[in-house]
Amino acid sequence: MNTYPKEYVQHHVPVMAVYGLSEPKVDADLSKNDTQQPSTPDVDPVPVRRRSSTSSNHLRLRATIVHNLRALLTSRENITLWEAAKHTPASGGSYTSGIPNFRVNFVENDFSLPPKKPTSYQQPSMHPHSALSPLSNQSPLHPDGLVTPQWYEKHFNVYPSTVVGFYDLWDWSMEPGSPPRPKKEVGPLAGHSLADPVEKERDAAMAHGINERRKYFQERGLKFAVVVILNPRHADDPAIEDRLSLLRKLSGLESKNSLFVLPISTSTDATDFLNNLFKSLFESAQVYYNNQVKRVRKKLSRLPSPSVAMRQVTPQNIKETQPLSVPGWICRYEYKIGVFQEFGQDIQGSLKSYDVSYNMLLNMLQPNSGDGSMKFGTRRWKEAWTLADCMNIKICRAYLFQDNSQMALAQLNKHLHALQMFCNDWHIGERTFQYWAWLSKQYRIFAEQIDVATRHGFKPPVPLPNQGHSTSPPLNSSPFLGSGGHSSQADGGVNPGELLQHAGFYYHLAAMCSAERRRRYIEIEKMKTSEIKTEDPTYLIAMKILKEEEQIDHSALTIELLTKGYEQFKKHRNSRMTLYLAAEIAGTYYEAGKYDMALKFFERIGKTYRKEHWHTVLTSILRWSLRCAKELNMTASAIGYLIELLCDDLPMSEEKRIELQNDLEATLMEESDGEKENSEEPLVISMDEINSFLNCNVQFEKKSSYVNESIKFQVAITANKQSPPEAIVFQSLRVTFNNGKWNQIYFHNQDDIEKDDKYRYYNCSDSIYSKETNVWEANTDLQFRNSQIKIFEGKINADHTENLKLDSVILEMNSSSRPVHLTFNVANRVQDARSAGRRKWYLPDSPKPTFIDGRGELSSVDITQKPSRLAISTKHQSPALVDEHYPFSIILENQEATAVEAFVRVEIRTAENQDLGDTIKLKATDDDSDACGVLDINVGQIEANSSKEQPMYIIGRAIPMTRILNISVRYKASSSSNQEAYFEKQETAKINYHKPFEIKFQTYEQTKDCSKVAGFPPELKEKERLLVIAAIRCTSPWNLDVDSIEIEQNEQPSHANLHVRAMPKAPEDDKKVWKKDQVVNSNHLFELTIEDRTAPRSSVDFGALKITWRRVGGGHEQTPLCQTSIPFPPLSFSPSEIRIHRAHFAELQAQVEVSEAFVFSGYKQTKFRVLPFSSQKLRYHCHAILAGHVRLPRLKVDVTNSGEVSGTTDAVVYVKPRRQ
Amino acid sequence: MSIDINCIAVIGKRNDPLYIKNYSSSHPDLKYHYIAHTAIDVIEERVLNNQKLTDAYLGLLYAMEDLAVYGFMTNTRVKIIIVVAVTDNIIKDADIKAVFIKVHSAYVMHVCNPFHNLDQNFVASKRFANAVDQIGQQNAKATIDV
Repeated sequence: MNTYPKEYVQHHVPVMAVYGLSEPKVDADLSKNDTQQPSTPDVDPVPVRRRSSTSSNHLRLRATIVHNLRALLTSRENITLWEAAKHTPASGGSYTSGIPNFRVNFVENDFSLPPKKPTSYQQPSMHPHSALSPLSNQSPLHPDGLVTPQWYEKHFNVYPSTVVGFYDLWDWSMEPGSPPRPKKEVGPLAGHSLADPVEKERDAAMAHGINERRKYFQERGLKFAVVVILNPRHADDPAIEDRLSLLRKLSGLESKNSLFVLPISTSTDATDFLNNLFKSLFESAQVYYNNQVKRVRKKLSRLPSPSVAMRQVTPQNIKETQPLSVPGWICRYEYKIGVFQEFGQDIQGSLKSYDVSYNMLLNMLQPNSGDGSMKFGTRRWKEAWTLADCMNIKICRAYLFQDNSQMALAQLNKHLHALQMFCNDWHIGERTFQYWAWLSKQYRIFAEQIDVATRHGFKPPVPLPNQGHSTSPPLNSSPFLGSGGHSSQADGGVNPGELLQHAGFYYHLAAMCSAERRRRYIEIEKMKTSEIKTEDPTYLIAMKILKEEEQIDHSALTIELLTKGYEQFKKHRNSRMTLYLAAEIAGTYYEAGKYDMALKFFERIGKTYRKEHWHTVLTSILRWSLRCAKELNMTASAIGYLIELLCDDLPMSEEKRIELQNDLEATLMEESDGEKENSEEPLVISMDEINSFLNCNVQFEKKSSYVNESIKFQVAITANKQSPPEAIVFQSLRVTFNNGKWNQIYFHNQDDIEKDDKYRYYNCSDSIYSKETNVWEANTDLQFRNSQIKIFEGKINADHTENLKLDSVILEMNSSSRPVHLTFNVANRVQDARSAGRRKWYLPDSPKPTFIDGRGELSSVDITQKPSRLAISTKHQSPALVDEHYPFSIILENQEATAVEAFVRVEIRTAENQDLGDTIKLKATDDDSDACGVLDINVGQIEANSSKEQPMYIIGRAIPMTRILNISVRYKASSSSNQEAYFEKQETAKINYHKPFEIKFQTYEQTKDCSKVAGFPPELKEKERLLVIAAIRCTSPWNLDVDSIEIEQNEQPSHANLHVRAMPKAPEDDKKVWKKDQVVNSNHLFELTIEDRTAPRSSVDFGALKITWRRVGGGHEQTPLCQTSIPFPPLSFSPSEIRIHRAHFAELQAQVEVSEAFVFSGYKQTKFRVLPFSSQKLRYHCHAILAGHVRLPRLKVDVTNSGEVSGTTDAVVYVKPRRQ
Repeated sequence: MSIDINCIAVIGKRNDPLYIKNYSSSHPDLKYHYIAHTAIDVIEERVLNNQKLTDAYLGLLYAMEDLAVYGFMTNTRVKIIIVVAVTDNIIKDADIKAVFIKVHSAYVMHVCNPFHNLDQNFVASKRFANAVDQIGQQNAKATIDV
């Protein structure tokens, strides 16, 4: 019962017999040819040599194509319904793009069908039945069998629907040793008359042969087709068309799709050819099978109606086997019709016939109400059951093919329900392993069908709720109208039992049945060993096949099915379902005693359930794992599982928990033999990765601390509310740090056991450093009970700076052999600062913690040197003046009781970060070599409680803008070692800058010698004297001691032909103290000389006025003199001379503007003419009438008729008031 | 119309079980835990593949052996799963949805408690447990007439 005959289950396609396509035996000859004659290129000029070599090439090519064809033809076995029937949709509509398939048999050339039976009407009395008919004596079905797999044999191998013969068209090259054929005439003269007579003769012979075969097969109702193989030479032959048509005519293959031509060439594609051949022949194959259907139907119609037949059957002689009943015949014929329809790919039709046949068969199988022909246990009964199962498979498959998932499932359920009922009557019902084996098989095959269907595009329906109707229920859902089955569609809703799901579910069902089968088997086995005499037929029947059942590895079967289901669910991305199946697989392994495999699966799946907090499931998995581990003697794993099982989150009764705890203690105390080699290595159980019955929380009191200050930390260990149910005592509690120097170990001290208070505080600050173990040791109480919280406070006195981290808290369990460490990896914990509660700090006497700064857990602390107290202040007199040596002092005050060493770094910058060349110096000298922008000063030692002043000078250049001084002081206690880090303190100082002076220059034209200009040739050299008055205003808020005011001449005059000379000046004593806003005039006379007065004039930078000064008072007498250079304005000739630079005569008009300060004599307005390159002097006598700086009257000169206007600039004259 | 509720499960947004109660005697609690857990897969798949789904009710998720599993997901991704025994009757969506809505409102009532912390472990209040159990037991016993 484990397998069904393949013929019953597989999908059928039309059968085709092929002859003439035997693998050629010419290979030996070919190789001989090859060795004798080297292969020659295709364009060989010698035709004789070429002939034989090319023919061997052709033969080889033919051989490969034939080989390919054979391979392709045979490769199409075992195709699925979906692949086969793509060509002919079940609905019978138009052909789709698929390619029909044939089952191909290679037969001999003289293949013939069995001799025809004489038709019944000729000799009705001597009805010769086929050898397989239940009516013939030799048949295996005699007298009451239904169908036998041998019947398929007949239709697979003996009766094809189509016969295809392959023929080679004759050619001279086929004749061994034949002379080269004369080349055929091509052109208008070529014709039949010129055809080779041998060729003609051969063709006629072949046509005759073909015709014989054609007649034979046609007579037997078979489609016959011929494939003519042309060798490459034929392709060039112009007469080939004529030959082929003649062949067609002579052999009588004139009907459509009878003659095919397969030219042998390198471009021949065997697949294409075959597809085309199959497409063309498929229809006639269908016709053949339709005829078979008709033939069987005719037989069927001659049967009496089953109801009549039933009455006729009278149990005349029970002992004799009855011939096949009428329903049996109907069943047989309908089945045959179904098979033939399936051959013809009429899926819809075959489904109907199978259905009729199947229902008939079910009726026959029915134990009580049937016709009694199928008695339980007989061969016929077995055959019928197998046939029913197989038909069920075919019907389900056809429904799936039609995308009718509901009907497919309905058919399966119908079959299962019917057979379940029958089985009960047969005494192989639900209590027997036979039934479950059968059920498992049904589900498995159904799953396979769905799997195949899914791979061919079938989609199981998704029962989405009907959204459209959810808001407005239809009328007929009213309770008064009743709710018939049909209304449910509108309402939305399905019968969950009628929903087809993907294959994984059915594999799972099959696996469940398989597991049940095992249980039933064990039951029967038990009954057998208990030797209870029972007359229960179920038991007796089962006993008969117990031997067979004993051979079966049930667990392997179940696991295989579960694995298949697992893969299906994996394919559908149902990862959690796969976990469930993995759990089932693991359970099956456990049952089978393969504990290692079971454990592997449990371990794999446990993680997800742990992560997603499915504690009930995890509990079950852990319990299973524990059992496996115990079976395998894996103490370490068992301890791990036991510890996790102690956690409150895993639901369990208290008794169970106590049992587990006792188990744990017993396991720990057990002397383990197997793992002795590991006994030194502690067993580490990471409590953060499992559900823990203890929670551990650590806190440092502060985030940062100083060297030599004590750092307090607390380890709070909380037991679960319910667990451990009984006190559990640990050997020691270790607290490890990133610096092993501070590791603490607190031992359990028997004397210290306190009462079972909920809250206990232990001060372990007095731990003593043990030189042997290099840890700090203390004694405490390490007994825990449920709902208890214990606080262990420790203290560390760090002696150097570091970032101290609390790495882990380890509880060591009492064990006899291998130490067991429950480790809380505090350092690896990831904290969510938002959800974490506020930090708690426990006090010795109150279980209520106080809240301290921050959230969550603080497991690291920064230890730094305590900074010495050092005050920084500055001393200076703001504002500073540009260019001066500005004295600036930094005062460092050591407020510590110890001396410190300090280094100062001063950096100057402007507010806008401009680089102005500002510098800082230590000494007020003119030597600028040590001046720089950033100054490092070693201040040296500052004694306790004293201060030190560090003077320096700052020189701000160019622009009076605010300077910022960054002062950073690095210092450390003088006594500390060299490695010790420095403390650093920053300070900034702002310095406002002022300009010491503001200068206004005024330039006055003095005299000009114009006498020689008028001469001829005019004198080109010109001289002018300019008086420059510099009004220097002292803008400094401080009094300035001005040492000198000097002219600083540029080394090179800025213009080539313009010379400037400062006129010697009587020495005067500039040295005096200037007060704020005091203005001092400094007069300077310059003589400008130009060689060529006609040259364009430009101004010249002469130089600068250099004022040498220093501040008065405030210790500035020591500082060097400062120099401020103020450049003179560009000097140029005064423009008071109006010069006509043109080479022609000009008529000018001059006009003097009235001035208040002067009266003048002369023309107020005059016209005059000036010759080219000559000059005209206008002389006015002005008489001053006002004193002071007054402006001379302006003279305006126009060039008449041209609009050019020129005029004298504002010349100012100082008119002294007359002495009274 | 009868719905034979075997189990009601409420699952949190992180796919952790909030409340699972077995109202049948046919299967052990563990089985329903497994079923509720596997149902998460189907819910996730269904929500992902039907983006247009506007209703919280997700319909029949799957049927395993003699149990049918129905799903419901709230806007906050809290999933409610109801396991029903498969009979030969059609189970109307409207009926099962009504049950879901009752469970959902019980859940809403529960989380509306100002002292309920959504970020911490779910602790089923007595009132919530009673409300859900009432729904479960009512339907487990036999029938509700709609």
